[in-house]
Amino acid sequence: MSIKTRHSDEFIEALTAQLAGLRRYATALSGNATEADDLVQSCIERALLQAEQLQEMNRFGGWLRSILHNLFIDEMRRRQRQGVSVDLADVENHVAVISPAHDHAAEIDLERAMTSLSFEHRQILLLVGLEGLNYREVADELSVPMGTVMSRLARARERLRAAMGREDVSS
Amino acid sequence: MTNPSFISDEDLHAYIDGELDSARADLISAAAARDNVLAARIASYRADKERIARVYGPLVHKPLPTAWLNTIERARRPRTPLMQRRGLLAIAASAALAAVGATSYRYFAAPNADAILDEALAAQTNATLSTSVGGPEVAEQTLASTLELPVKAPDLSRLGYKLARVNVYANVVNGNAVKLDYTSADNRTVGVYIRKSLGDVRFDMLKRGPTRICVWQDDVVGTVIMGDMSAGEMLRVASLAYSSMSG
Repeated sequence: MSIKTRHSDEFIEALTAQLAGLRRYATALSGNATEADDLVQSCIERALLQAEQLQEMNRFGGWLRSILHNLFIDEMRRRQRQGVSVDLADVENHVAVISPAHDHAAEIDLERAMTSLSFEHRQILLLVGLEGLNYREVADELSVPMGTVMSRLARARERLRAAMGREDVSS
Repeated sequence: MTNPSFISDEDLHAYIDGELDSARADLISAAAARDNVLAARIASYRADKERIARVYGPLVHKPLPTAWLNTIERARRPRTPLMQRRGLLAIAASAALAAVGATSYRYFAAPNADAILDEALAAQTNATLSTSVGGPEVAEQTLASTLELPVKAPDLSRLGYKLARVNVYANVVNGNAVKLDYTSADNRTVGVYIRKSLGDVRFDMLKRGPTRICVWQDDVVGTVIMGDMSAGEMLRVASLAYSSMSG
């Protein structure tokens, strides 16, 4: 893909600085390192093409994640149409690369469980638990009310526990 | 789910995430202190949250594909010679202004007799007093203990460089020196040599073979940055190093 528009040093450096975090987020969201790299590559290209849509430089990370979310949803829809499913062997291979050996089984459980959640639940778990956003920042990034962030997060955490095969300790 | 009736699931998770006001958080803390089941429930959700960070967090250190960096770099707006000069002047000025009582600085000079530069280049081949591998915390502890200078370890991560090694050199003029070695995902390296100032306030850019060198010194700190890179990249590295050291 040829990017003809040229960008300021500030934009280029901000984009470069976000790459490692964006790739981590994409990998966690998709559960597949190869797919994540494809997503980030597409995200870079789209960001360079749509740079004028960035309103505030201090929201660069959120803007990139929004692009990535759209690309990911497009990809999921394409797969649904084609009947492609996630191969759990990919998830295990991926975890084997990134996880310390001592807690390997638990990490595989987590990745499998994450992969089984809806996009919205994975997204909110990662924005809070991995990206460290506070509720207000999540609400702004997702354009939803704070109450929705709170209820969605509570449901997501319950479903994560259920997907990991753990009984709620209160039950 | 058996939360006490006055604690909703939403509040429980807001408590775990530190999002509740202190009065409400105190209420839940007190309830958890009385109720083992509630305390266990909070601990298990906290553990799940921490597990997410632990499993996915290290991915941030995975080397980035060079193709991505090249794609982005190709989209950089070309800088005109005037812009480059203005940018350089701005950095030189900021370095000079930061020096208390600075009255002059050199600009784009390549001095022959150059104590701090000679010292930094010699350090490349001299034996180190110690070498440690670690992150910014190690570097800052070393800077504080070795140089007793109020500077932070430069954070070059915005430009893709990660701190790899902290070297301490003994017996340089007036004390010790520290060199911080950074590496990028595509194996480029930057060395940042830091010592107490030798006195003259200056900002110089020069080239020795393939190595680009930036020397700046105020009346507190003397710094030499070395790496095989373009002048433009060295300016960005120097600017970021300077701002993060003093920031």
